[in-house]
Amino acid sequence: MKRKLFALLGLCILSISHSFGQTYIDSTVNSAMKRVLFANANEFSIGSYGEAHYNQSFHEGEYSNGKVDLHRVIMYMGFKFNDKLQFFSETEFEHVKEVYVEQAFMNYSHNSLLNIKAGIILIPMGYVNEFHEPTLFNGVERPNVEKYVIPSTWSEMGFGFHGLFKRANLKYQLYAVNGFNGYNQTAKIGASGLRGARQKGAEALMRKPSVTGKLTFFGINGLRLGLSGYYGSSESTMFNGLDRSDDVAVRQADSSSIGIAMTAVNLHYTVGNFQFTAIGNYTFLNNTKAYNEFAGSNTGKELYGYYGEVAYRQKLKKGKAYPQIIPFVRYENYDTQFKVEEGVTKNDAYHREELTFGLGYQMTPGTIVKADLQWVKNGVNPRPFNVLNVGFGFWF
Amino acid sequence: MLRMKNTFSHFILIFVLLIASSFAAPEKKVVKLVNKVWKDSNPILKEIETPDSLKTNIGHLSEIIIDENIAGYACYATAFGCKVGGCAAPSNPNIQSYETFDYIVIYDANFKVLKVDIAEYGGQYGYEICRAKWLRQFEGGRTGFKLGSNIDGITGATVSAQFLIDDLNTVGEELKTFLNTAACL
Repeated sequence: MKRKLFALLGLCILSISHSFGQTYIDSTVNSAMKRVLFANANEFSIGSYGEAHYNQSFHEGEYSNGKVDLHRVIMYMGFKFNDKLQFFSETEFEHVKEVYVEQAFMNYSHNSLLNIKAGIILIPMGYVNEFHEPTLFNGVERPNVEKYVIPSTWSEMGFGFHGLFKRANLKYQLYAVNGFNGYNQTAKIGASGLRGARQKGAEALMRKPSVTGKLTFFGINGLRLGLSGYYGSSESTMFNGLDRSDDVAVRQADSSSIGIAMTAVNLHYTVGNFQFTAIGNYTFLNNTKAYNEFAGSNTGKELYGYYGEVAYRQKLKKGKAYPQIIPFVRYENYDTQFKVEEGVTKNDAYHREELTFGLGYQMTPGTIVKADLQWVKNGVNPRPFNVLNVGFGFWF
Repeated sequence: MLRMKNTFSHFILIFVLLIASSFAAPEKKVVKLVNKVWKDSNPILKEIETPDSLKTNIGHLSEIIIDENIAGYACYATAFGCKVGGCAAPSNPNIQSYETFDYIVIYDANFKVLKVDIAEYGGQYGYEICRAKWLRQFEGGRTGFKLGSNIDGITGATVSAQFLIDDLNTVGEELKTFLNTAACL
């Protein structure tokens, strides 16, 4: 096994060194020349991105340890079997010691309108869940609305269709995926939201698939407007081997599952050097009264989150695309226990507001250094505490 | 509830019809676009054997005949889009690992671009180049298209836009050379 791993690692290193040994694709080189330059290249594709962070919070009257973290390093691997059929995977090493397969799917492109994807796929919700490489979002850490309300990175096993309605300038995605694991001897869903119930396609329980989809409008240059939806029920180990005729046990198992309906809107608009981003998410959970009573949880019945961000991209050298500096400001507001059923005391600590000011220094299309300062407050302690974040990211 | 069910059924039916209609062969897509450009002129398409120099780009090449005169040329061609898995690698040099997309370009008899349309875009990223308004910028030009200069940059599709521009410049030049040479023989 070890020998195989070393062989694979060796192959990766060889592939990378082979890639770097070749001529860099200059955008001025035309396609015909590229074909000649890379006539011997194969269909194997490799890439990576990663981020390292330093986070230091400041609470009045308290000492706080800072934290340095190699937050994530990702290896992309893809293979083009032919022009229609491809495989793509994204393996993530998180906090150095955790390994996840974030994406691994086969994609069959029939035509513009009809493409089929199957495997571990990203849920098309919001923005960061689909576009999370460090040069694609501002701030050292990903926006918390897209971490706690939309539980990014959120990928599950499934299959479905995606394609373009070209005349309407719309892209659609529609997938059936395994749902959240809401109950596994203990409650997995609580006041902090759905994040802890992701199954990530790892021996995931699935009784009924969930459905998710997204429509993206791209008809105006600089504008991308998306509308996402997710509908399904959480899974539960209580259904394993359950006797269908045992009404009491079935009712009990039903209490260990909740219904989830989530919707999100994402807007990005680039005009001149300015970039505007806005995300809104609203999530309805049903059967939470029975679930909370059965599982001893305090799950809210409605969750929401939104943020707005303005950034300005400035080139630093005349006539050169890079380096660039990107100052930005972002306001976030979210509550993972916005509304609760009778019998649950709402905890305002789950209602948070965050204001982030930051700066990115992008040296090349694939390298960036970031720093920001966040003011964070919640409904219980309205005096904000501060967090300083510094980090760098790469992508190739 | 019944009304909702009906709406859903209609939606599914429209979707199925759209998919069925998308199975048209490349030749039909070219004919459709040519008829759109020369609406009331009854254009006739006559296939030309693609020269070796253009075989990597062009799938179908046709002369457009109106009243027994050559009115223009139509090409169905393939270009590179994003890398497999996304436009995630601004420096990935392995071109064979890139997705491809098909486009149609129609020239007049003097090799001036009359219409560019994306025939098939199966990739998951960079699809913004399908926007008709952006494609209209090529109309009236011949070659020498340059992103950010005479062709506007396009947010979210820099890689596929660049490849399309590269291809149109190459195809325009090589097609002109080939057809002019053929006319002299």
